[in-house]
Amino acid sequence: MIITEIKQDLRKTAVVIPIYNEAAAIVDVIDEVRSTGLKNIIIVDDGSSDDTRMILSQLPVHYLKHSINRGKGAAVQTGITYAKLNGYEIIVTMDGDGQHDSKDCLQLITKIQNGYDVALGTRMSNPKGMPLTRKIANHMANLLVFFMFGIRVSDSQSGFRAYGKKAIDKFRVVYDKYEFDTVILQHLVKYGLSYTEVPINVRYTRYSMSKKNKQNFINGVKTTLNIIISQIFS
Amino acid sequence: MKINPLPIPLYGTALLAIFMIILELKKYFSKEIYQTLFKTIFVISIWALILIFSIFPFSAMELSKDMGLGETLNTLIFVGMVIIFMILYILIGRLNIVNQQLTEIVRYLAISEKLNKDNES
Repeated sequence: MIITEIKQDLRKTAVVIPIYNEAAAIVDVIDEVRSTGLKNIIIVDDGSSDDTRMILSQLPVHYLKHSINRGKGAAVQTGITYAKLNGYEIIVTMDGDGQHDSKDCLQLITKIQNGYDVALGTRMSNPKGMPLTRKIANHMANLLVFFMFGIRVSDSQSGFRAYGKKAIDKFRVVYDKYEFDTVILQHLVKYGLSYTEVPINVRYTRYSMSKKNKQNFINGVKTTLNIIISQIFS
Repeated sequence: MKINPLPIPLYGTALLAIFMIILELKKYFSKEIYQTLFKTIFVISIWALILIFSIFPFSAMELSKDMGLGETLNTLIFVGMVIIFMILYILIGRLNIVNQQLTEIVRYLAISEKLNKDNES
């Protein structure tokens, strides 16, 4: 009975994966997500110039392509908009480089099914393997988030999250880059949405760490500055 | 502190600062989504400083003398900073709007293409 209920709920659940030049990793990520029972996968290609389109046309996923690169936040928002149009009631967002463990999707979804509006994946409960610079940047970002938005979370930069219907209906984030994940937290406060944090596993592979467009320390500083500037001038 | 009649450009600056402070407060209390407390405090602090130096220009001049700057240069720097801040404020605001519109167009095209494919199949 319980298994049947979960299966029914998963039919209204979509996984949104924003990607940019991830041809080398995306097939494995999709296979792993499908193995958890999640079949509605929305891939948003943010203007990739590699073989992503050709590879994904063979796979059972919803594939959307930005004609030009607009940033991770813009891609996630496109996926969420498409999911809303198709009536999905729970949306999971995760990275397309294989860092996130798909098994954690089910834990995030369970929290939404239990009544939370948003479930935030947190890497900080098990930061094994996380580079020191990233840990420092993460703590600084958490402080900034607390100072600016008045919300205390342990991992404000994580993109592995699940959103329930109320959150999906409320959100309209206009930040295009990595700051999207942070600014979402502002919406939690503004709209009084309930949230919880869920420990997630992160795999720091050679591939994910060698990516040019990864969220490293320098990009973290840029993201932080972007948030401050855009909060002042928006 | 000695209060002398203000030069006309400083009246203008003071009025502009008061206007900008009221505008920021209005945005904050009407609960605009991106009008955070942080932004409100930051912008109001800058305009409050401009307002104070406009109403009490001698305080700025005395400060400037203490720092070894001439009065004329001090005024030039002050007016220049006000103008630069205004231009920057407007430019970044407009740039953000253009960026958002560009993203909306790219998003619309991506979703339209996908929905067309969905309808065909």
